Amino acid sequence: MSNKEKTLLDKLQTIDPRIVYGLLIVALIAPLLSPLGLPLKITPVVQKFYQTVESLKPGEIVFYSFEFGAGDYPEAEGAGIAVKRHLFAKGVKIVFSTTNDQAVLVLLKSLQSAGIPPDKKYGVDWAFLGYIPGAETAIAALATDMHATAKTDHYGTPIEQLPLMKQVRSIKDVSLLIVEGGGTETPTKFVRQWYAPYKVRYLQICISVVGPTLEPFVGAGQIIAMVVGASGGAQYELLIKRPGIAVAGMDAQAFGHVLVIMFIIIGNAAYFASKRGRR
Amino acid sequence: MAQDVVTILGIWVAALYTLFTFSYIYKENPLYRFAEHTFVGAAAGHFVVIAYQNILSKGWYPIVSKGQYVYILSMILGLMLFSRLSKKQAWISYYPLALLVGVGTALAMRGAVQAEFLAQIASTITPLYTLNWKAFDDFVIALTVISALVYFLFTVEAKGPLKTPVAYLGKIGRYLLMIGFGAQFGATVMTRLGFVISRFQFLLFQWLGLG
Amino acid sequence: MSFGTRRTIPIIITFLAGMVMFTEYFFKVPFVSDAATMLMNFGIVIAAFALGLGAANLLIIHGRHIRKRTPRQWYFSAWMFIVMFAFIIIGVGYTVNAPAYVWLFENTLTPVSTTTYSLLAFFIASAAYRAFRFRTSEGALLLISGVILMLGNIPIVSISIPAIADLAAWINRVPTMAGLRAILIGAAVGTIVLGIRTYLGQEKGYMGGE
Repeated sequence: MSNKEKTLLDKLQTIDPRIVYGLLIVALIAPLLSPLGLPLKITPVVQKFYQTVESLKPGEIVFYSFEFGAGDYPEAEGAGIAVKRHLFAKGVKIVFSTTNDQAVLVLLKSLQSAGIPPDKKYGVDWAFLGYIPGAETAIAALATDMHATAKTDHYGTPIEQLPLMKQVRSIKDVSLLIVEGGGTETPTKFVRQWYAPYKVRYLQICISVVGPTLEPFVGAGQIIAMVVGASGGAQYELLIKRPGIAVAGMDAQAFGHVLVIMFIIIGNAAYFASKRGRR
Repeated sequence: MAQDVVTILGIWVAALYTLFTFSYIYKENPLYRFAEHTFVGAAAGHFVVIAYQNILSKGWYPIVSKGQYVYILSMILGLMLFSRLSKKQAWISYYPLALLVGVGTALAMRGAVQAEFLAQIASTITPLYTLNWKAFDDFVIALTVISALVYFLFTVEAKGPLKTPVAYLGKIGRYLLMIGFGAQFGATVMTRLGFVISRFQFLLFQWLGLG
Repeated sequence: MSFGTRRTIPIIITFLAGMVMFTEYFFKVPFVSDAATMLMNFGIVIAAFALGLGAANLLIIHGRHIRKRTPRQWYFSAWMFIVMFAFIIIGVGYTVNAPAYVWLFENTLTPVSTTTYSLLAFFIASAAYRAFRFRTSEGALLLISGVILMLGNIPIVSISIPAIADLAAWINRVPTMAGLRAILIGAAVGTIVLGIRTYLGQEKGYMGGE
């Protein structure tokens, strides 16, 4: 191989990263501006999550722990909104809570985006216990006695004054636990403090990077099913027949993934070609 | 009208902060540092506000509205935490921390034994004598769990006749773990692209009003 | 109070608190259950105070920068203080539900936080091109597994070539799950051992010891 070709291959391997960034920006923006509407496949695990929520009867109590901070919420935003819409449509009673201080306002924004149906009254059909400090201690205490732990709701109303909370004292009154977010740590704490002693039915919404780390709990039957990341969210939006931000972002996800795979292939091709040239 | 102005102003502020933060991919610069320090100040301020709200609702409210005077002790313990800011008086904070550590550790331990230890081992030990795909999957799971645990055995050195099989089993575990880490890398790509896409959706549709 | 007492009494408190929680878990004794509930609620109140501790620490560090006029830093620290006190004044005065507070949260904290998380996508793309190489057999296995997962995440690929989607799902469900299960079991053993060491007074990290 000639010296000029070797230099080109070496240059190809060490391209200016800003060119890579520029290509990524173009690959993500183009499908957002001109969506292709690429088809999506519903996976069995999202279907199982959907069926579990679908099997709920009106009046059953769902405890919904929302644990996303402001920064890591976007990838699962579509999933969260879709699940909340599904729950409100089922007529179940929902008790929201969080052990993440930033999650308070992120949850309220998510509820606003989901759109609470006008016939769902605060304090009767749903309630928000607010942020409870203490992480695992708070999670364990909520299972034992929600009234003694929360004391007031997020708005400062004594908890015993909420009609819904007259029916909900502890985990024994809860039909289903849904945890949205929390990385790996918070779901692990819920498995330890809610599933292990009380065997509550448990569904999880999380971002893609967290999904594999929670698979052992799904494999052991401790978590029934998970909706994972943008892809899971897009599938759930299709299942409830209300496509939203997750579906809208899937074309860009596809293009971004293709670009990263091409980068790996081209980078390695240039590397091996230049290695062979040197021999 | 005023509401629209406030909303538009908010969108512009959010867009500018987004662009300032994105400027880091070019190189670190004063605009990025300005955004970074805004975030640190905002997060710290939010901590204080949430702390204040919770001290009132979890500590103060039971004392004044329900006559549960025992919570006075919890408020005193909470205030003792702030002695941590002084090198000489930091020992005062050991007492509330001791309580937190004692309770939290017990909760973690009693849950971990059942949830992370026994339940995980039980679901790994499954019948392998049937000739179907499930048995194959169960075999791969059992092999991966056992070989990965052997790979992590650093406290005791395998000697004598056990040395070679342990080394081979550990190597198998290492390879199987690499498959898992590769899967996590694939998942990481999806997550990070999802964050970028959401920011671009905001900039294109809410800020620039395209589409 | 002597140095020995300063550390001994907290270790005793840790031990006693832990024993109450363990007794409550294994035995149904009414006053022990009440004590355990009270301890958990005390922990929640103390944790609320701990949130303020982080902010106090920031005040000290950045206050030092402003006092010393640290070059290229002190004005950023001053801005940080302005933002922090804006949040505190509005949040404490008008609660977190006030429109002004929500506006500040959604238009300052949220965009910077989300954008910071998203920066890694660019570095992953750059690393994919410049650094990820099939140099060793383990590295090759990692990259191949990663590429299969990524292909499975592309909807058009998983629909047109179902075998790739099935393989990606299998990798997630079987070897990945099992590998992380091994790590989880190891971490559980670590949690138990660390807990025992804490109750025996061997772990003094929370008291600034070794």
